[in-house]
Amino acid sequence: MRRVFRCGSLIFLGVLAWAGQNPRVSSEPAWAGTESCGTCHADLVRGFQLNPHWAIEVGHTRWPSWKGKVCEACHGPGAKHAESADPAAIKHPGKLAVSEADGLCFTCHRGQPTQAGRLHGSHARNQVSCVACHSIHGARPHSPAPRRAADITAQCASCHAGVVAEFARPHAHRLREGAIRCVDCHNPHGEFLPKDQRLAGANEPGCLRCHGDKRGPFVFEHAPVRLEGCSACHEPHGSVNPRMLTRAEVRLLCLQCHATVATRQATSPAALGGVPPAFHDLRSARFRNCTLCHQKIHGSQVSADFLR
Amino acid sequence: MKRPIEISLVAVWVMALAFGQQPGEQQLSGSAEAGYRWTTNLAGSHYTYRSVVDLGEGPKLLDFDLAARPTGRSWWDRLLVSGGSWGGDPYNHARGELERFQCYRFLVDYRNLTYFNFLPSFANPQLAGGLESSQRTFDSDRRLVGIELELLPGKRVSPYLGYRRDAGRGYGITPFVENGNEYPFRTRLWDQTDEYRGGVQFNWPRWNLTLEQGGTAFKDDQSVYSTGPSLGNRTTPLLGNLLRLDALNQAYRVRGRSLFSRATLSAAPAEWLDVTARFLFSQPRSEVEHRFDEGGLLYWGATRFLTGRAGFTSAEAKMPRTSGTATVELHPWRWLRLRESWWTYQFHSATSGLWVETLIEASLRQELRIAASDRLVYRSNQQQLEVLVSPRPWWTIRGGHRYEWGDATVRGGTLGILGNPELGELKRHVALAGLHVRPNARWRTSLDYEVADTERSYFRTSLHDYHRLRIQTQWEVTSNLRVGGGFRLLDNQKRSRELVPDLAFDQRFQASFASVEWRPQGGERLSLIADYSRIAVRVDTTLIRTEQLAPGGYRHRENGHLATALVDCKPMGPEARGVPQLQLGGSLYVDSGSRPANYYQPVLRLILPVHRSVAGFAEWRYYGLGQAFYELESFRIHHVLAGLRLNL
Repeated sequence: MRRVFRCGSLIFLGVLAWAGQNPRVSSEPAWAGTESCGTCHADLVRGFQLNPHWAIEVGHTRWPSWKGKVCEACHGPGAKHAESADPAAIKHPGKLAVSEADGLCFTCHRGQPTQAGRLHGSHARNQVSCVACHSIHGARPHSPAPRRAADITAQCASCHAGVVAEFARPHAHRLREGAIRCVDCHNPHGEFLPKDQRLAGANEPGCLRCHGDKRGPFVFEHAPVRLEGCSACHEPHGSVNPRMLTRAEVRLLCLQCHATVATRQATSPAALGGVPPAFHDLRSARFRNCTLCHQKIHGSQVSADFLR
Repeated sequence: MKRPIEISLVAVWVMALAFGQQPGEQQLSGSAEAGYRWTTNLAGSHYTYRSVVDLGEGPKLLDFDLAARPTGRSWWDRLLVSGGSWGGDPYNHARGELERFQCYRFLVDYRNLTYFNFLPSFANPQLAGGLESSQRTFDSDRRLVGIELELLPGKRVSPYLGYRRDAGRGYGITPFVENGNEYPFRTRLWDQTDEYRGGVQFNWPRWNLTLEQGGTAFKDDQSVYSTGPSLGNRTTPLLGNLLRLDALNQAYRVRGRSLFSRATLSAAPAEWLDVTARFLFSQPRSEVEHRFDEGGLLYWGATRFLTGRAGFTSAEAKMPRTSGTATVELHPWRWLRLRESWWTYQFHSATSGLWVETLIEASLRQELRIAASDRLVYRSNQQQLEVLVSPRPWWTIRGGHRYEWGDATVRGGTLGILGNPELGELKRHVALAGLHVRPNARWRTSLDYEVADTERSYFRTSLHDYHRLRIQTQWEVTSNLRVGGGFRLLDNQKRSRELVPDLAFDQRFQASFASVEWRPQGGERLSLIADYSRIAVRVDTTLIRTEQLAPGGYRHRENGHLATALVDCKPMGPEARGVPQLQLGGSLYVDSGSRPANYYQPVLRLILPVHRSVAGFAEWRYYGLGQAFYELESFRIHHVLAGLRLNL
């Protein structure tokens, strides 16, 4: 068993150490050339000159063998299609199986840092192709991907209309106003965290990218903030409740955890969260708005009870 | 326009126009929209309007974008600039991107987000007396600036540098909490985080490695101070004495810093093998100084009354964090993918401090000193295996399992600094399933399902035994008509098995939506985009019932309907001059749950193209928020906007 494991490890390491080869252009005379493509598809070729991928056509990339054949870098050899004008004689990435279409993009883009979390991503898991969002021949000549906040929102809403609609609630992040974009919090290429959430500062929840005053570390931490994140209490897309809380009144949020009235068994922890002390007369308005006093609820530098 | 930056941006745009555009070449494209907004007399709560909408009158640069490429050889290949909401609006932003292919890429991002929050709360003890300001309020701005420079993008070795500042400034009201009373006083908010990072990307055809090192510097100098004597929120005497605070000064001085390291690897050593891995480590720490000085009639202990109190705190906190992820995907055949991933995240906080207080009772002074520490330890791990099978190229079925486990040690909830540690654990098995169907380029449906069996979770409100389902479909009926729909469900239940049987937390979230996009004849004269969503939330739990101060049931409900629509009508086509175009739409939200509310935002816009590049417009918007239980937090207002839109 050990020998099998050692051999398997060596083989695996050998494969990993293999540097691979550049995607080389076949020397077979099946290529038509971009000039030939432009004979029938003049508008597309002209528009494509504004696309960053045009750098391949003029040889400004590390794949010089594709110079003069940028169309066929994605669509495959086009000589037969040029002769017969048969659509079936050439690849159409929008009509290929998702893995096949993505494979065209990953010929060059697989190793990019933006793809690091791809295998974890919801889009990859649900077979959403690169061309579902990146329009190579689309209306945005300068960039295959939307850049303006409104365009990004519209792109995401084309599938996630129900999620984008949540920002129509009264208390919401300013997505509809363009001050924040879906991609500020979510990485559409995939991330290692659930729902493709981005990280901030390398190792912190993405919320702290803008809400740096909640980063800490605090002398006294509020455990759910660290253990379960901001969405333990807030609805980040939008809420009918003030401050995007998940409950209509803040006390109802706190009392869910701070109402463990039964005695906890020493060998069987049930849930974290203590009981409010007896002087909290919840019939009084003073004690029914918890954060009136426990203001530093995200963590306090001074007070163990988050009072300051 | 009052601010020079708007003038500068418009000047740049005008110069770009004056640049001229060669017929047949597309070196410059863009648009800008500017105008003047009027608001009608606001009905309802001004503070709620500012907390929710906060748009004011005056000249506005609503939106701008510019994309440019040089016609000949140049030191740059592409320029993209965009932004909007300038001219005093509460959330303005600008973004620029300058690139020379395979030489450099320079990004700048600026945002200013105003956070105004002054919502009179239901539980305001002084509301009956007309005082709305006894709660926490904010009138602050957050400014975010990010700069990134990437050298030799796309080359084998590509270094990069980044800088980001996140700064908060403003004022607010913070209740200063004393024994037996709380005193709302003015707060000055001031915090700033600077993040510096640099790294190198190694790009090879079959693998990419990114190494990054960075650091953050954090400052927080907020303070609370009195502007006069205050009787606080307590309206009744305590032991015959009316508590009051005559003067207060409280100040924080927090300095934090952190170093972080990140390494990310993605590799495809073979056509049938993909590997990704990431390692992150950070060491944030905070050093705290806190002072306060107060005078008045203060309550201390059981029967003591003080005339003043002063305190000084010196403390520090450290929280080293480590996380790592690795995923291996094998796809030996076109129809089969095996994906195994591991994830670990752990941190612990170690804090210590010294609290010194001076109690002042007439001419007597007594000093108290307390040294204390706190600790929070957290470890979390996940292991997941997924199998994706594609019997045919047009459909994929997926199944898998995930195991999550971890533990946490936290300070128990108790008065005072010295609390006892409590242990929480996480043990969960999750079964995964999914289906994706794409029979042709026009129709796509995907389904995701998870079901979990949890032995331990941290909090009563944590995910425990849950089902999660998501279905989404899109269908391009014709080239002009596209419909979509979806359904999401989360059903989570937690029963306390070991203790009192009736301690429970039942949570159900259900959302469905339908959308339509109709553009007859390519949308040249008419287009319609509309969607409708229905959200239903049900939470049943036991907590301390306010009236009886005893455990009882609580129900939270949300029954929300959301709809958005936009009709765009161009009777004579987009190129017709002098013929008005109409856009009508908006959004509405109606909820009949625990916090019934309705929020209407209709919009009507008339556009009058006068030139190939110029169109005038007039817009009417309405904002109307009504809340049945909180009528004090309702408002309605009309906005009228008139201006010009310029297109390149």
